[in-house]
Amino acid sequence: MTDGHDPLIVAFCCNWCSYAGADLAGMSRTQYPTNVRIIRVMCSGMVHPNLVIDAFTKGADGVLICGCHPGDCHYIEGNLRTEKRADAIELMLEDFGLEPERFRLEWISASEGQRFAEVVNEMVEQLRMLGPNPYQT
Amino acid sequence: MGDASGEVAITDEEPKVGVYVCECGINISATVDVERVAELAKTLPNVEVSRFYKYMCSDPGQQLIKNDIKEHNLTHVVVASCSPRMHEPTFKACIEEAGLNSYCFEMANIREQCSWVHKDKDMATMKAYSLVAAAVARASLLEPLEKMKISVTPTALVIGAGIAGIQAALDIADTGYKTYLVERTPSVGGRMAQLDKTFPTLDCSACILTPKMVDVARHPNIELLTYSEVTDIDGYVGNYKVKVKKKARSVDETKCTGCGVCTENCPVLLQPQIYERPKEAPEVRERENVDELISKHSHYEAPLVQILLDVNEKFRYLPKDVLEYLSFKLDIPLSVIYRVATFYKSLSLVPRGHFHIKVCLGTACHVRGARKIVDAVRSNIADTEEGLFSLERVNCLGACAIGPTLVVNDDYHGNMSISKVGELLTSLETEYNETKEEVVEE
Repeated sequence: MTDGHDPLIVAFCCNWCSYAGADLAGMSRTQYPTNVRIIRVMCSGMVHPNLVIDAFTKGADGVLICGCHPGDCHYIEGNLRTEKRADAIELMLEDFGLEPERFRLEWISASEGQRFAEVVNEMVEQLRMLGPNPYQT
Repeated sequence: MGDASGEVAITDEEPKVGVYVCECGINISATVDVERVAELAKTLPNVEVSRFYKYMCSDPGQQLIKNDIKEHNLTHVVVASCSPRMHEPTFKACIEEAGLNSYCFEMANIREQCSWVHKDKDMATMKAYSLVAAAVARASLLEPLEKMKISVTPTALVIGAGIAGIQAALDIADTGYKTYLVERTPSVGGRMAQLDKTFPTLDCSACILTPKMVDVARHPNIELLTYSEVTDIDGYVGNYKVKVKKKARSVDETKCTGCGVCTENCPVLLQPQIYERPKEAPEVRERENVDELISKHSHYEAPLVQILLDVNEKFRYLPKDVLEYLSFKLDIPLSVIYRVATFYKSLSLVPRGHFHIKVCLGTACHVRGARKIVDAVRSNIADTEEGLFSLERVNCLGACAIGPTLVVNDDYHGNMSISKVGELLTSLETEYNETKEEVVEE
């Protein structure tokens, strides 16, 4: 954290796959930066685009949604809905004048702790380059 | 809620939250200053009491929470420790024993998602604190919930009485559950009943199948619904409502002994339709044009494919009357023409749009978002004039380098994006409307 900007990422993780994946990253002691705050949701499909926009307008520098891989959803097709919503979110970011890189949708299974850490690392690096979210006051 | 076995009634009063930060031996305390987190948590809104302890999940740890609930009249509890996937049930049971509703509980995961994944103690401590703050904020909003029990219908439905369906129904029925077996055709047995031998042992197919067919019909737990189709499935796991349409059999199943006399006396005789070559040429659209297409290729030995390609290009599909006329003219059975027509991807039996759009879903295009392109095309052409656009998904257009790729009639468009699709389709539509107007003016 040598430079001034330390981004904040809000990560919505589904209870069945991605939250467990993030737990696995802990159990295997895979290190990643402290910039991420995980919010447990029952399904990635329940994350309404407005929640994401709320996070941004309240100062988050990045939002990450993690769900089960397509076909593995605990609720059969919840994550397919997430995918549709992600398209909507990308369009909304455009309207809000935010860079599309600030939002990411990732499929992370309960066995992919390493992948979760990678995604967080990549995202933190990218957000450092982008600088703070213009909505931050 | 309040009258349920001594549970504390939640009123409109301000919530009183207890925060408990766990050291988990050194698992958490090595990277998170738990004492500082507990101290900082005291300043959070609604927090009545905040403590830390070596092992919150141990008996003394749980006792600490129970005592505080009684002493401080806590309404909600937040435990900052391991993952809720680990000890959420433990703490829920603990606060329930102390008289709180188990849903007035929230966990902050400061082990798997904090102390174990970070090394910098200051940063980890601050992150743990913000996780606790979030948990307290959420806990303050939690309302008591009641667990519901919903009865299930212990019945199974198997759709399709081929060998797989028969065996599945028998297995379920043998475990004692009522099973409905629905079959579309008048008899059970499916494909296997049409086979003589089974691969690879070349066993007698009927010898395996028929005893099972009899078992299925006689099993007390199986209700066989032949000549029936599932028309609607509603409900949820454990309580499905299924509508089955029983087709008219015109026989009283309870009385039928299978004697077969009815078949002999049946007044209806069904014979397979045999196609006869018409004596005269059938009616056809644009006869001269079609004749010209045929004669163009008459020097070939097998001109059919060429002719079909030309017909397809002219009418943008293969109209039925043209195929029938071709069959007559070339003296080729209609079935052979259909075989060729359905084999080639470029031939179509349904009308294609004025602009036929093929979107590539090959791997190279797929990884660059071809699915979004398909969605974009579909939503863009949804409100356009009927017959103007049609969409087809293909597996490779041989233009991987410029993916995602789509082809409009014969023109390739590479590096597509959602916005480019919109622009392209709008320009095509304008172009089409302009040419149409010109024709009208002439």
